[in-house]
Amino acid sequence: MKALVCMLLLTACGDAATPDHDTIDADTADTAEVTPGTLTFHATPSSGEAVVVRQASLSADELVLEVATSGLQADDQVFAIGARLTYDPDVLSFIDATPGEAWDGAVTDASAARPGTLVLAVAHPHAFFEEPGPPLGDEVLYRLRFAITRVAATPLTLVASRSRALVWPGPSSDPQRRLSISFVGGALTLD
Amino acid sequence: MLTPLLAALLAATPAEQRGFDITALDYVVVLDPATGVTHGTLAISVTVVTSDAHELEVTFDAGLSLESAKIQGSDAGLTVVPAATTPLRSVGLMFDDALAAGDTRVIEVTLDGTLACNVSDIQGHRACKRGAAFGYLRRQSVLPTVHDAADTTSYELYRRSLSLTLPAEVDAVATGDAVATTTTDGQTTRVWASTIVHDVQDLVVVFGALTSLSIDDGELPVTLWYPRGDEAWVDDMRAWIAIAMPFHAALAGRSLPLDGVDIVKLPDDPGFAGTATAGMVLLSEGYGNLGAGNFEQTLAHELSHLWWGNLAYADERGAWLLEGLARYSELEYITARYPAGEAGFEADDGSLRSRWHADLMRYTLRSKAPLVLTGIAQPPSDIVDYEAWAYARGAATLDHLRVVIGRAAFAAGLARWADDCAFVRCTSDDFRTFMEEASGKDLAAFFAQYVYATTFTDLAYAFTQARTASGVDVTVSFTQVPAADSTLELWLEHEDGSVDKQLVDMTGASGSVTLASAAPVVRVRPNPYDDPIVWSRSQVDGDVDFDGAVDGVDVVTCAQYVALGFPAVQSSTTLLDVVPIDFRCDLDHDGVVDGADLALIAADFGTLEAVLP
Repeated sequence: MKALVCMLLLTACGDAATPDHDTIDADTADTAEVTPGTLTFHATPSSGEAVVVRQASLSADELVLEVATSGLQADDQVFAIGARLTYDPDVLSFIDATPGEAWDGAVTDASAARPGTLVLAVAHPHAFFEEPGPPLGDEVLYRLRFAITRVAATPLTLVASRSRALVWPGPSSDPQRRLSISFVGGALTLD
Repeated sequence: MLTPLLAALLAATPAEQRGFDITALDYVVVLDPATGVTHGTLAISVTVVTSDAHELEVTFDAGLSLESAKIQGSDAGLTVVPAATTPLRSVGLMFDDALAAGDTRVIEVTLDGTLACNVSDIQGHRACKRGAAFGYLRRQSVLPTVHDAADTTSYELYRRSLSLTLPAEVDAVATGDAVATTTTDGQTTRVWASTIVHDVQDLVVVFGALTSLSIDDGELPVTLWYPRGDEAWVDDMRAWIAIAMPFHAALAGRSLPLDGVDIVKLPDDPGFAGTATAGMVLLSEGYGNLGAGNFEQTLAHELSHLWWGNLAYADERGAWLLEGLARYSELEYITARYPAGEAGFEADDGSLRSRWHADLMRYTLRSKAPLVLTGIAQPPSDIVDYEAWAYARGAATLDHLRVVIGRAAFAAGLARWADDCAFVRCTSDDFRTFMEEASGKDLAAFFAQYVYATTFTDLAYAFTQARTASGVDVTVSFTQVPAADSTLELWLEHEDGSVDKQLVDMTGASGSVTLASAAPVVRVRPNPYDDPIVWSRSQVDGDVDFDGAVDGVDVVTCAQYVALGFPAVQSSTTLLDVVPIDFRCDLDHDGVVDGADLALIAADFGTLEAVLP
């Protein structure tokens, strides 16, 4: 059934931009707002089953984040996740999004339709009982690449009221176990 | 303001007629259960209502012959006209002399022969089953039905009795109060009587080797009967009955005015799956084949008919106050019993049951017959369509009415229906009156659109927000085709998850309404109970969760149906086949939510809601 729909849709617009190295180099920038210092990403601590944001890499001009599941049991079946991530568009500029390896063949979508707002979705396009989703445990959903356009702090918030997950507890789970997925973001801070 | 559509609907009022008032049916039957050889008489007492009174149609088993038909004890005065011979035999009894309003007559028909017990409809039902170990008689066996040829509603309310003689070793239980038992020469004669019954309900005798046990439900003496030695489901049924009977009494606001209730567990036999009669409920253990939940839910449905059909019934052509009320009661019961959804229904907001009903309305209900039929309108002939019309649409209309007038008023109105219409002639207009008096609301438009006509609107709305001194004004603008008077309970969802519920009237082809909210809202969605009747959607294509955006939540909302791999709703051949998709996810309107629908959401993905200034 994987042949039903296999597509990868990446819609990047709005604040997607090629990073300008001259403006984001903390050591050489000469604007008043830029303060020499070290940018650090801090993930907000999470507990239980969650979708979290964590750092993959951070350089002077680029931040790569992973949106990932956390706290899931190894055989939990993640079928779809939709999330909204907000950030300061004066600090970060969205470049692109790449789904995690487990989502090969899935319906995926990412759009920075408004500066500072990124909407994401991954969904398997086939019936669960015909072809179960990947038994994930903790797995990367998306890898997000941002250009750092200004050296400053910004929260990176997964907006719970506009995010949702579709997860089946694994077959070995307690039948009474009910998953309640929380969405936990982080922050880029200037230390 | 009345829309042209509504004005036209209001002008159409039901007009029904009849010739006779059947006041009593008294059956006397002798039966050899093993062979089906039987002899029976039926005394039909009538009062002439109008000059249309001229013929009574009598229908019975094809293996029997009409030995005689007398009026006032005389062979003269009636002409017998054969009408049908198979699968049931039917004759017309024509009155030779003109009758005047107020005249009373007693017509006695005598039947003889051997029961054929033919399959009598496309569902495989039979009106009887022969057998010394287990058998049954229903109406249209040696217990004829009687129909006034001039009656357009087929509704009667009368006294009924049955005297049945069987071999002494054969047990029997029948509809009505057991009033006498005598045994002579190895034959036992039992008499059952009902002071008053609605004709819609069957008359049933179950006979053979039977076991009975008493159940204390705190309301009435209840006896559970089953074939001797067949203990399957007996303990379950006993437990369910003890819970369901008081539940239904509370829902109806009153107990049953009966001396007791008999409940019969039937063997798994497609010829007779069960029914509810006056003070008696019968149900096949075959319902357990689909699981205990299905059995319990169906039993709850049939038990509710002790109130909806046995106690109160509508004198009109329609089934929404019979099957619709029973489905409503059954769903209320199962929702209360399994609040966490173990039985498949969600207790929180009724969304699953409403999706199921909404799918039936949109995809299977090909007939546009109104809930109350007038003129030449006929009920749907297709079985799925009929069930969608009588059961699902009836219950969904009641659900929507409850939202419109509020739960307390609805409960009060329902109690009036159970009380004021107990064993008297009532109609949907009476039901409307009770609901109006309980709520203080004019329900003319509601009944005109949804009961006496079929008005499903395509209603699309969007919302904007503006800050005020005390919070936020939420302006909802809508369009609807056709123009109608729709009422939705809008759920204003805030960032913190709290919900503010506001009832909104949307009148005409388009308009807007402004709602005050204490805080900014994330979504403005309708109460799910409104969905089957008022087909609402967001004006933003692909926005299925009513937040004005097409984002990940929309994908996930619809992906769950893809994940479950539900077949197309239109391919359903029975009501149970219909799976509850959210019709708003069926963006290409093909009756199934699949990858193609996710692709359509993807086409608009990233559309965001307006920013609150």
